Amino acid sequence: MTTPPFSPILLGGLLMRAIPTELIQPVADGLARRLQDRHPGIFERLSPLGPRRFLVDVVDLPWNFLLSVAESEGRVEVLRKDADEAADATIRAPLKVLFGLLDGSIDGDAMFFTRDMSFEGDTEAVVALRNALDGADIDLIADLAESLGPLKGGATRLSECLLAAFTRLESDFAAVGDSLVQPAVRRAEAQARRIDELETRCAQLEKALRRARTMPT
Amino acid sequence: MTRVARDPSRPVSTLELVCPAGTPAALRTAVDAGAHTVYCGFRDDTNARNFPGLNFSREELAEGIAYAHDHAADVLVAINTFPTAGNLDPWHRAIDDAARLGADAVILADIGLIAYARDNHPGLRRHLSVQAAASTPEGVNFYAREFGIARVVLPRVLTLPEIKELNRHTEVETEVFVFGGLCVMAEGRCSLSSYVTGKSPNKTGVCSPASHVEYVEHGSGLDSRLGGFTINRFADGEPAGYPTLCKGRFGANDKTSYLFEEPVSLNLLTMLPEVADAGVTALKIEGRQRGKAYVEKVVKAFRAAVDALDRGETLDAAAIDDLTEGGRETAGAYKRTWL
Ligand code: SF4
Repeated sequence: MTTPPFSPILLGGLLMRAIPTELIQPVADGLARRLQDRHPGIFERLSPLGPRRFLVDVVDLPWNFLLSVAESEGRVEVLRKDADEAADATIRAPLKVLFGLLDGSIDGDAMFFTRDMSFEGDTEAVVALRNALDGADIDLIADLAESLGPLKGGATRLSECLLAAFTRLESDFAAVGDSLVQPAVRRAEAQARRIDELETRCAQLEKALRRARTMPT
Repeated sequence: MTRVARDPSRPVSTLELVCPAGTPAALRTAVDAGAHTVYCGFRDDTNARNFPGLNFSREELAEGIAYAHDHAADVLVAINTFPTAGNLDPWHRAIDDAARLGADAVILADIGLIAYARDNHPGLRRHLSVQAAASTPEGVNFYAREFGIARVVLPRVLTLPEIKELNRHTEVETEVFVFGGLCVMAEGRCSLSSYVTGKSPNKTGVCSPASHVEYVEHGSGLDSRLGGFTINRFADGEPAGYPTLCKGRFGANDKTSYLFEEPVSLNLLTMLPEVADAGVTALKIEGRQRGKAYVEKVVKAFRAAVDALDRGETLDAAAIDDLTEGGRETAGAYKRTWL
């Protein structure tokens, strides 16, 4: 199971719960259009699979995104977490991992091996989507800014500022998170050491018992 | 297409770095990261990495070759599956198109296709794929004598002393895998995937295909399944892996263990001096199915290592630890510990 990391996005996500999906939908529409215009290869690579629906569960945001692909066209629908929508595959990961996968700066296999993301459902479709996205040179900030139309210039500057602030905040959050969980980690480590000792002791006793049983009387 | 000659001031590398590209973007990434050579395949059954969403159309290959040549890198086209009788067309077309588009070599496994390439495109360099499983000087020299093979990609079951011995008895260039997933059988001879899914790397170009893979989350962790069989079970937090059949954890004799091979990745970064000493010409990085981030990181690390080797310096393996499958690595058969 992919759990959300303790990060500024998680906190921001909690605050964003009040925002209705209708407000986010136009941005998602713009982004889907933009991807289609700039990166038609994504949908072309997916088309041999036929129509597919991917539910993207961004674990640290209050919304899910339903990506529908059919005949070289794609559409993104913003959904509330509790919305019940059927999909061929569900992908779960924190926003930062998904962004990294989209722009190819993160290796999807490595993320999966280390369990930072998870998926269920149609594996072939997920593999094809991963390969198709990785094969496109997506610049997410530029694409998102373009999808805002006339607000593009301001959005680009804003996103640059936000990114810089986010990087600072992220390391602060990591420090706070570490200090919060450290006592629990120390306790768990002590318990693990104690369990190891008990297991060794058990194994020794079992061995002694076996030996005693096989001794000639 | 203007071909840029390799920079004459750069020392000719002792070892040629041959890097994977599953997409045009990965090809550009590999070239930019320092690949001397990139290998790729067409988007069909003719290459042994026929994964969904991967590989090159004819147009994409033409653009990829132009990009590589502009940056003084070579492109090899893998046409390394075995055609079925009566359906040779896709494989012949792949060889014809690779030649027409200006590929620097084709990587072939089937003896009939090698003969076809020799007869129809004598000027096109021919490399013998690892799928052909040629592992003796006699075998390699036979392919060279009869089919003009210029290079052989050696199976991942040979030790370094065996590779050195082989190189002493052949003029053919040798290429060895140095990083990535391990195929533990002599390639081209494994039918495990075919047995469970009906699809194999030998004919359809894919081992343990994603279309037959399922990941199932349950209370205490994650199961990976292939063709309905549970191949592995991972506890919460334990690094997961793809259910490649030979890398499953199975129960036998009251014990659950990796019966064939643990899901570890090959990494010879720190052994490059010994590899060079064995007389090898080229180093192959596995992973056309992996993303640009993997390609960039691994290619950069190996290019730095090859350059360091040229300068007589020591090498550092730490740079690519997190890209290995299950986070663990091995020297495989090169330092024989498990065969
Ligand atoms: S099952 Fe394993 S040994 Fe067989 S072809 Fe696949 S990766 Fe290679």
